[in-house]
Amino acid sequence: MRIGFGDGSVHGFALLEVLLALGLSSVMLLVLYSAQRHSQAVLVYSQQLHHANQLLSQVASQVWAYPQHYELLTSELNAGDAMCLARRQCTPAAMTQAWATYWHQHMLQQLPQADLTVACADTCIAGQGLTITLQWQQKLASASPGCPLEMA
Amino acid sequence: MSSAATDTLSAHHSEAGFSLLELVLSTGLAALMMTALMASLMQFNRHKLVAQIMVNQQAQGQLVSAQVLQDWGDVCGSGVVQGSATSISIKRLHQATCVTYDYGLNTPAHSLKRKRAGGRYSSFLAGVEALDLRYGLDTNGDCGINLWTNHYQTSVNHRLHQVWVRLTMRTEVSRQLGGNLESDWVWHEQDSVLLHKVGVIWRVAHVCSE
Repeated sequence: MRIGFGDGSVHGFALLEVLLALGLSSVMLLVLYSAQRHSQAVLVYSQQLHHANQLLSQVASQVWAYPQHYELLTSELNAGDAMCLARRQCTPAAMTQAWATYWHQHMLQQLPQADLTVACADTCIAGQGLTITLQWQQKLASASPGCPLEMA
Repeated sequence: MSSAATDTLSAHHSEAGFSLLELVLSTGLAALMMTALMASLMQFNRHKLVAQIMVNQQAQGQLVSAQVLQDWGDVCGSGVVQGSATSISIKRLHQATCVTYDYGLNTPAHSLKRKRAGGRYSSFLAGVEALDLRYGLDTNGDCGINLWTNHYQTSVNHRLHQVWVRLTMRTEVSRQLGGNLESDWVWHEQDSVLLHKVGVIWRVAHVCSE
């Protein structure tokens, strides 16, 4: 009977060990999972920045090409004619709308809830100041509520 | 004696039975943990490979943009002489003289090639699957682009403002990733490479800037 009692005590401790091991394993897996999610979010954000840089470069090029109609470059109300960018002669207004449509269909899709604005200090001519703002939302695991928007 | 012997025996039986249960439980638990750990490690490995590909694609895109813009930065004379969807001839400065350079796609080598007038072609950019050049022309003299076309020839009837360089780049993929690709990736079946597009707009300097 002594042997049985002694063995029972050892088994009880083994159960506690198992529970501890289970708990620790769960915590470890949870930490791994959250680290991975954060890493994925950072990766997505990196890709978004890459797309944003390409887009900003193209927008800047077209603002200088159409200084009188640059406001239409950020408009998404009127669907532009895609053929304006492929061998069809178009007016400057139609060209800017075609670019706006192209960006919305190809590049802004990569940026959730993106908002693109262009503003010239006075007139959009070489030598004057040009401000292009691109905002989108990307939630990072460690982001604070104070900075929910990304801006390029 | 007989009673004590029976007690000891039953205690031993009890211990053996519990050990077996323990063994089964431990094995099951270990298997569960190993499965979870292996799945997690495999997921991490895949994530690492995907990250490597994305970083490679980004670096490739930035490098291509920088190289094209830098190479075409010192145009001279008439600038762009002529161009098609897959080739372009540009006047560039070389040792203080204005020389024609030809650029084109080298399809078998999957690269862009470059040649100075009188010289031989050499590789300019590696890992290029396709090239599509579009020329932004002003055909009515209002200093605005009103036509994007695949062909360009110097003419008094139009002025070239911009060249839109659209490249399809090739990125090598680790075999560890297998066929397990992201949904928005374009896969080249024959060569087992990933394809992605890079767009660069080159503004021809001094056009309508006076």
